[in-house]
Amino acid sequence: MYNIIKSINYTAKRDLLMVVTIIISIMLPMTILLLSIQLGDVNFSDVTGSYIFVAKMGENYILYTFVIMILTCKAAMGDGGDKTINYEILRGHSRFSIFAARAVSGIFYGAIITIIIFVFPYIFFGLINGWGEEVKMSDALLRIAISIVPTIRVSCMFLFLSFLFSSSGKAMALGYVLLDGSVMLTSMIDEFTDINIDNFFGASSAMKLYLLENMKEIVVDGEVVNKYVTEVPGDVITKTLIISVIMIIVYLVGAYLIFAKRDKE
Amino acid sequence: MSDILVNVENLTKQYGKTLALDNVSFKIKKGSIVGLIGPNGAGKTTIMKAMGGLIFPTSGSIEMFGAKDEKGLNKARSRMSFMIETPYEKGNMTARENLEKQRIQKGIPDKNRVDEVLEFVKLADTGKKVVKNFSLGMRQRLGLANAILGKPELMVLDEPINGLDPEGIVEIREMLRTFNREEAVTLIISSHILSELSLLCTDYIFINHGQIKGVFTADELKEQCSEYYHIDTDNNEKASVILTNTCGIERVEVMEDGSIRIYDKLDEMKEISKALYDGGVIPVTLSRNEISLEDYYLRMVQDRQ
Repeated sequence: MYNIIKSINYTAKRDLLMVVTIIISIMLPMTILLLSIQLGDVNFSDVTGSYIFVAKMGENYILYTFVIMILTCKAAMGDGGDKTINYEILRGHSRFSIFAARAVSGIFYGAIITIIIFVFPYIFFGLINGWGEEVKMSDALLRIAISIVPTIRVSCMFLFLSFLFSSSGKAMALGYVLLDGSVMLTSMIDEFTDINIDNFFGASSAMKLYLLENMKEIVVDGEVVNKYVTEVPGDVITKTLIISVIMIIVYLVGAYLIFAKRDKE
Repeated sequence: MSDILVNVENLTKQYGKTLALDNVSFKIKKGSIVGLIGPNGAGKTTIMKAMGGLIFPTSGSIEMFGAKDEKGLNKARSRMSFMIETPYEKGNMTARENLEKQRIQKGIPDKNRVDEVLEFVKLADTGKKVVKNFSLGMRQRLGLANAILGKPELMVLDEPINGLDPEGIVEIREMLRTFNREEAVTLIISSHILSELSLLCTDYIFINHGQIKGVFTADELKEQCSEYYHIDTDNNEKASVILTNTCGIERVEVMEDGSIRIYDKLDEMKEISKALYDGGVIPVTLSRNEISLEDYYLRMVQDRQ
């Protein structure tokens, strides 16, 4: 399994789509942020880590699900169309170790790398201008840590699609449709009903952890600052984690059963 | 330790209503070069895929290097290499990058092995040229390079000389012969080019419609593809009786068109002709021939359909 992971990394470093996706997903939001600061009425020095955290960055999470989609599908099944997997089987690697290697690679690139990219602006401005007062750092870190689990859930959904179609392209195509559909459905249900479907989809489950609404005004050093309520309620943690873990297991087991039992022609 | 590396018993593979393999059984001895011969769709590639673990047999068993269970078979496969249908390649990578990726995947610690193999298959000077720009011969050589990368004990090659020019065919044949003689590698090779196989193989397995039609050593096949006399007379029925009873010829074969072939006493044609003439039969055609591998193969697959 370890050798297969190493060989996937060897290819990933040379995969133009993956490299470009990572670079653009770092550069583009940062560029937009810096332009917004430049054009807006906020001083650069006032843009702290917590300022960015509450600046509706959570809504951007939905865009990052496309990054999860591309990186997961390419890492796990970017070579599904050639004979790479066939030759892994012919080498004597078990179906389980091949699956596990590709699942680990898909989750690493799709979920872990994406989370790092996503929180990069917080880290960048936090290091330059400090963390700030809007949000407690420990609560922000907890929210980020918890969001890793639903992010892995989203990644596992794309893993499942990748193994179902044995193709990163087809998985991305259907994944795009499902993502758009889930976003629209969530918005509509949120808008027109009282039904709470935060945990129905992995993306909305993670996104909610970055959207803070309850706040009060406080005075710090003679200046008024909006202080947000950031403690994460216990039931939110529990529901988010339990439902995400269940769905991760469902996706991974489903993907493995498809892969393990299928003839490789 | 047994010298049987592969033992396939009653292997069957069904795809829906199609029986791709029908109770196939054969053994492969260590050190042999086995030619797997059959027309397109005969089941050659299906056998190789089943051995490689790419497809799951419907029934039957495969034993390789003494192992029958899945874990043991996977371990056996690590001692083998395969080139099935088209060779492995990533078109946007160079030859070196392709082999390096395979070296990592196969867990081969020696980084110099890639250079050694490129040198051996004469692809060391391809530099930054990506594989999608290679000729067919170069791609076949890259596939072979991948196959020998892990120093296998048994190589399973599906039509390795397909599409090559004569020079390329000779090169590959010599490489395979070197592996067998100098590195004691056992080879299973499928091919349509029977004349090439006859220059290389020690054993033959004939297959058609998913069934084994015959298994021979090279010597046994040579005996089958022996010289004969083709005889045509004005009364072939009477002639065959004379040949059997009077001349004492044991191997007399009457062909579909009524003509006769005899396989022994080929140096006694003077006496045989006299016996026919004395028996009132006039020989019309009397010619000495040899059965080619192609002729023998075609007859076998047609007779046993």
